[in-house]
Amino acid sequence: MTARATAAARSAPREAEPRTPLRPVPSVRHPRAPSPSLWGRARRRLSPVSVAVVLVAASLVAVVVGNMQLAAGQLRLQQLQADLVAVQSAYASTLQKVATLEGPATIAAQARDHHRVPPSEILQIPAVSLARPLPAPTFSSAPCCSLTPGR
Amino acid sequence: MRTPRRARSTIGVRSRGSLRRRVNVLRTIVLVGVCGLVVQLVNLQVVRASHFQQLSASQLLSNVTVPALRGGIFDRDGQLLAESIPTRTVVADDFQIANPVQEAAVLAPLLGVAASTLVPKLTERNGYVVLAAHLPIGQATTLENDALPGITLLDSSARSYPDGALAGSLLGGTHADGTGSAGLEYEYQSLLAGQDGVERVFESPNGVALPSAQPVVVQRPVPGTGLELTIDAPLQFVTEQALGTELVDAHGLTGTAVVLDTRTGQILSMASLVNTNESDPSIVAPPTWPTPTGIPGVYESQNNLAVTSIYEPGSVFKIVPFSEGLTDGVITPTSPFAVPDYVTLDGHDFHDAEQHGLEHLTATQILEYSSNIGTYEISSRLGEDRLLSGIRRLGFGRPTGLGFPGESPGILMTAAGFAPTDMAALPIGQVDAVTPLQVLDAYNVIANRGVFVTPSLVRAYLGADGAIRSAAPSAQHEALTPAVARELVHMLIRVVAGGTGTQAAVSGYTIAGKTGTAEIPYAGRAAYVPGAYNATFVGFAPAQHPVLSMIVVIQRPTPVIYGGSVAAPVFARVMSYALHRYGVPTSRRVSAPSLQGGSVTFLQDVT
Repeated sequence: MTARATAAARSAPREAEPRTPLRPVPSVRHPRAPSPSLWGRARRRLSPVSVAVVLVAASLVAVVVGNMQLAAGQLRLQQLQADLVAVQSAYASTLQKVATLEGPATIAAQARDHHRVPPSEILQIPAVSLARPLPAPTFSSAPCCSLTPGR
Repeated sequence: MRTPRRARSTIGVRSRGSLRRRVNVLRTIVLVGVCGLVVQLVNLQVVRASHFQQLSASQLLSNVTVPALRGGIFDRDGQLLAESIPTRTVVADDFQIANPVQEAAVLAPLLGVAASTLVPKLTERNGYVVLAAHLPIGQATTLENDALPGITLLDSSARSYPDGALAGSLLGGTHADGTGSAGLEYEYQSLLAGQDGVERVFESPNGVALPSAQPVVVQRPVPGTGLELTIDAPLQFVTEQALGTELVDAHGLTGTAVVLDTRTGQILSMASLVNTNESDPSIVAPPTWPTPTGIPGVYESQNNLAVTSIYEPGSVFKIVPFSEGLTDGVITPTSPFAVPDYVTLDGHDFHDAEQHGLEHLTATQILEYSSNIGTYEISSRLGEDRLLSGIRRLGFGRPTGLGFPGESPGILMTAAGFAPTDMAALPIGQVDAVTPLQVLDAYNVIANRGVFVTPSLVRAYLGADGAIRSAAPSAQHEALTPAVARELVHMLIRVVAGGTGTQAAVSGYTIAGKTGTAEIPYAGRAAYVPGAYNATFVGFAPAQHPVLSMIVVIQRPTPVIYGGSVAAPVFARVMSYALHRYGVPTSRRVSAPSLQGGSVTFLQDVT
């Protein structure tokens, strides 16, 4: 087949085929068309980059807040520790004062101030058996006269 | 005309597709980058956080040891004897102080130091100057609130002894850093000290503490364990006062007195005093604590003389041949002896304290009048081996088990070195060197029906959480039979009833005991210091049912040297108080057994 014959064949009309009646094509929504909802619009606006940035920022804020909480707790602990030491110190000082006042040296000194002295001799009476009856007491006669002086 | 448009359209579509792809690639790269950052953030902040914290800490933080509060020491009734009070140490970094004069003016009233004294310290260019070692917490808080530049406050504690010098030789003391230096403070250092804590403070790289940076508590300090002693503070006071007064009156150099609970071995009082009014160039005086005792010139010894000093005990050692003789059946309390005035052994004369003719004495009278020659005769019957084993049987030659730092086991004669003269010198307490506590333990064996009880000083341990843990009871073993102990008690009663120890008598109670007066040897020389004696009295009461045992030793009294005249009165005073204090029932009237024997005229006991 020559080139001319081919061209003639192309230009020759084809036999007409029965054609379906024309009708309006139903509108087809684009599968990637944006959703009309609010979330859809927001999602369209938030790119992955934005999400990542927000995540990073939120993480940083969380870390900072956490550290602040820890520091605040540490400060409070420190303050409590200082209070504890102060109370311990006061307790120990009070204990020492009490111990000094209770000490035998202090008591002896106070007694001396009140003109109280240890006895030069303590006479301890020997134990007596209770199985044996005690001797009957002896009574002397009444004095003949009053012992009151000046009368 | 349509073909170019179609071509442009194709190119535009391709171009948009390519752009989209590029944007997607870029987005992916950025996303991967951000994800990488997030991963790295998590890695740094979470996974490897501790590592980087450590790195940071090593550069900024330095660990500071926070000393634990030292445990307290109490007597048997809970009376406080020693405690630690939290304080602060004020340290200045003078490199940070720009205006030392102004800062000194602020510091002076708080530290109680003149500003003129502080200014040179604040300009030392040292970097670490301690301005006050033990500042009370109240003043320290004020100083802290002032936040003066270059001033740092460190935790510390001050050891306090509320009763002053009371029991100083027993309690000991602490170094400047708070560790025990002597006595019980030293012995129980590990218990009393507790566990130090750790704090991290922020510092600049050159080691300067950063202002207003709060320290981080890494480990809280654990307070030390407290000690409840067997000591009775009022009895300790009375013992020290009686001993100190006698020390001054008798012109003694040092004095030791110990009161022991006979059954339990608990030490109720233990005093070691030094009379600084007296001195002897031939006798070295022990160091003293500076706190006054209330008796002029008398101070607490830094050494617990009852356990750390050894001495030739003299006649109180005669209990060894008597106990061995009775155990062995060599003698009975009524065994008769013909006692001359002196004996000569290997060219050496041994004599009694006082001249007398040939006396016929029983064994009891030999002990009662402390006859040296009579004791030699008993020892001769025993022989060397029995004598040496008898010494060890009563606890001499080894530590008492008290565990006190520096406790001496004593120095005993061995069989290898036994000389002929030792048969006379050893039983009268002239050869062996022993501690006063060993002598007391030996007599406590007799008081305790032949049972040796290890002495103790600690009754309980008081934990930081308030828990009380009792100390283990003292170990016991039988050293003498009860029958021998009973016979010895009766013999010792005679010593106080009519022998050399009459001044140890306490009205209402039967006392058993023994006197001793022994020469003092030179240190490192085989000779005795002329005119220097140790006077001893050791005994227990009530004799029939002993509750308390006690020893008194006074070194180099003068001019009266005898144990029966110098040490026995101290025994009587302290024992009288103690028996009354503990409500010990009085003894029944004891009629001393009539003993057959000669007319004894010697009433002293010098060996």
